[in-house]
Amino acid sequence: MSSNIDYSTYSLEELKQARAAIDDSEHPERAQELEERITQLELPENSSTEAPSTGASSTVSTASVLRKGKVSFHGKASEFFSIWIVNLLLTIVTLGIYSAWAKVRTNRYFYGNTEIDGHRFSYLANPLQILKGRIIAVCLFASYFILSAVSPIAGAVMVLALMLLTPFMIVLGQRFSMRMTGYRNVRFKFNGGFGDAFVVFVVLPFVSLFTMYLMLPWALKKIDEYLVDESAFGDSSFTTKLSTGSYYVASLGAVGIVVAVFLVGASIMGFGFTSLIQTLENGAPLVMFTLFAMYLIAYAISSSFYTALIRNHIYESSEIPNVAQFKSNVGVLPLVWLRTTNVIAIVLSLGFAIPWAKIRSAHFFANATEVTVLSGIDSVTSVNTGSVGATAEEAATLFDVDVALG
Amino acid sequence: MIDGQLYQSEGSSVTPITASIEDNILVIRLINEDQCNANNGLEINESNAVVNTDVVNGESAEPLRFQQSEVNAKSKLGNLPREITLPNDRLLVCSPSPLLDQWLDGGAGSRISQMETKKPWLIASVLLVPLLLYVIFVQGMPWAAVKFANQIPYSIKSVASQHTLSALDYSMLEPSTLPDLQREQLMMGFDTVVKQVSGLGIESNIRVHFRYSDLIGPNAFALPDGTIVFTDDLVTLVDGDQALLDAILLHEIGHVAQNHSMQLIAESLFATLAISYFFGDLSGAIESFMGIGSSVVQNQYSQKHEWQADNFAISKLKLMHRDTADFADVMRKLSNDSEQQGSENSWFQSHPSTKARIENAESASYND
Repeated sequence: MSSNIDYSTYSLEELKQARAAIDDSEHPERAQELEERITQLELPENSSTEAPSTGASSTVSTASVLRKGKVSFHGKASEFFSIWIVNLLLTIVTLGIYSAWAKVRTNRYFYGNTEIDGHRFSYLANPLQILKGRIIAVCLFASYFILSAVSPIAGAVMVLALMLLTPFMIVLGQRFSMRMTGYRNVRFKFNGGFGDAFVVFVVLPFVSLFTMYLMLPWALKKIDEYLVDESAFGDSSFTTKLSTGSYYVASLGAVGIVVAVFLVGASIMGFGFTSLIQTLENGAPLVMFTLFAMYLIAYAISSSFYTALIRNHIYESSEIPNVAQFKSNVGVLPLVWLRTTNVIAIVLSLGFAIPWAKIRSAHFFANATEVTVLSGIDSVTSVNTGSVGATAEEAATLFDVDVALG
Repeated sequence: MIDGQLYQSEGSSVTPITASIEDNILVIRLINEDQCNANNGLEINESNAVVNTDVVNGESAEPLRFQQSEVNAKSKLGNLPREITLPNDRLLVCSPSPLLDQWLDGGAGSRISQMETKKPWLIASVLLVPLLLYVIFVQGMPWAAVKFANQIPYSIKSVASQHTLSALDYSMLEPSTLPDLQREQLMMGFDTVVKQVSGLGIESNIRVHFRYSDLIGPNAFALPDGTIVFTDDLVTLVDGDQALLDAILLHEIGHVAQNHSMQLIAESLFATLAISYFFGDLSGAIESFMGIGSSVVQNQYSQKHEWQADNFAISKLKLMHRDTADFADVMRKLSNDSEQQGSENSWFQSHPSTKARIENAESASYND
């Protein structure tokens, strides 16, 4: 069974993985070959970056690290404040219609100010596409809202229908937002199919109900895996290998934090038990505010914990082979601090701090993200979207639904 | 000279360039590694471009020239580099420059980016936004909700009420345990009240029901078609006092007559849509604040309806030459029973504070 595996098509990263996985005693010759190839590939990488891959002529992917750097974000709070307030004014004056244009300007500002490796992203959507999606969304939402208010039974039926529709909307929305994202004049793409989406967004979470949510972290992993794996930059797909363990650690940790916050809160309130009864008699507001504050604290810490761990894990485990590798080091406490201060600033400023908070968050996440650009970046080609049927294109742009990634 | 990058259409390959505007034409010169050392060489190339450059350096040395009509640029936004789409889907990204802006946008630039950069507009926006939000939420939405509610035909209200009542019967209401005789007597009393409330066109639709409920305690509510439900607990709370129950009946008739249920649906819908589209694209904890915001807004609308229904009841009591203190009495009895009597924060309540409602009813009786 010593059939030769052709390692010549492997990238350095893949070779290293194969080397780590191989059993020396069983396949000494393969291990040796792998080591030779690894040193071969590592040498030019160390000696010079001048020798660029010969591009399209060479089909062998011998990607070397070109550059490594943080994502930089150039947005300024003062500049975005004026964009935001004008957007808001025009949206109000036009009773919401301008919100489509506002969204495009906002996204253009954030995408265009995000820079990786000397190139900025661009947001390519046309406001009219978004307006169309929003009109449909408003009609759906209004009919659901009115129907459920008029007849609880019809409302329940519609909730069920919308739940079944969710995966389709997510796929369409994901396709739209990926296709509307450009980098180096190449659009991103989302190739996910409806069937898989139905499984990960409806079937798995539904099944996990019957395991008392014990399966839920695994289902969440499947969702993220689906979203990343089906994404592509031009003709180069993202690949990811997520570990189920990380999702259990993050989820159990998040639940544990909520429990801990409420236990601590309850014991603090317990010390003043008699006063608690008095406040109950004088009306519930204090208790309500304490509960509300505890809810906010629990939410802030546990959601930051989950976000930080999972984002770091996804970035660490995902790559575009030969094109780019990612790293994220979001700290839990800095994220808690960021979110808490944002909320406080927004509440105290009666909303006027929203643009500042958004810019600040973008800076935070950019600073925590590192991208390694590999030599294959220069040979990424855009996929000709003209071949896709016009109706599919049209249908895909109907909905503008966003699913946050990581 | 404006620095920039030129991206080809089919792939992510990129060439650094310098751009300039010459005779109202955009000129793009590729910076080739070979040429980088001789910047002035570019000038020479330009003068006799046609003659030699093509041959020597390949396409790279030939400056690209574009008319305004050939290019397509996104509007100026903040201090972002300008993205210019060239023929054949090539993309030119140039660092911001007044010269280029002038060429792309003409004189003053787009109206939107002017609004975003000129001080007076900014100050006006900062002042106008809260003002307009206030006008829309306080004046516009209730007005539109009334218009909306008046469009709803009775048949829909009737179906809605039937469905709601059966859903409630299924979930939290049980058949009344009051003696039949007491119910019949109360019904007769209510009939007299309904007959006296004339000229609304809804008198024939008022149907009173009694239900028992552990969950909602002493309570009464109206459905949009004129169905009014009293709980047994409410009747026992006032010891079956017809006058007090009449006051509550009038309050509920007020809700029906003024179409409050349908208005509240419209108001909640408008408020939810407005909040999500005006302040959308937020995430995390801020979003949960938006949820709180929209329930606060809905509670304000609901409180307004309660005031309207209270005042309806009080004015009808006066018309019937009955004591408006009845309304205050029944509110007082309800508040003695309720745990939340002193609750000062009205933001999170769907009903105004009972104290204020009692004062309102009492001041009405003194005014006579």
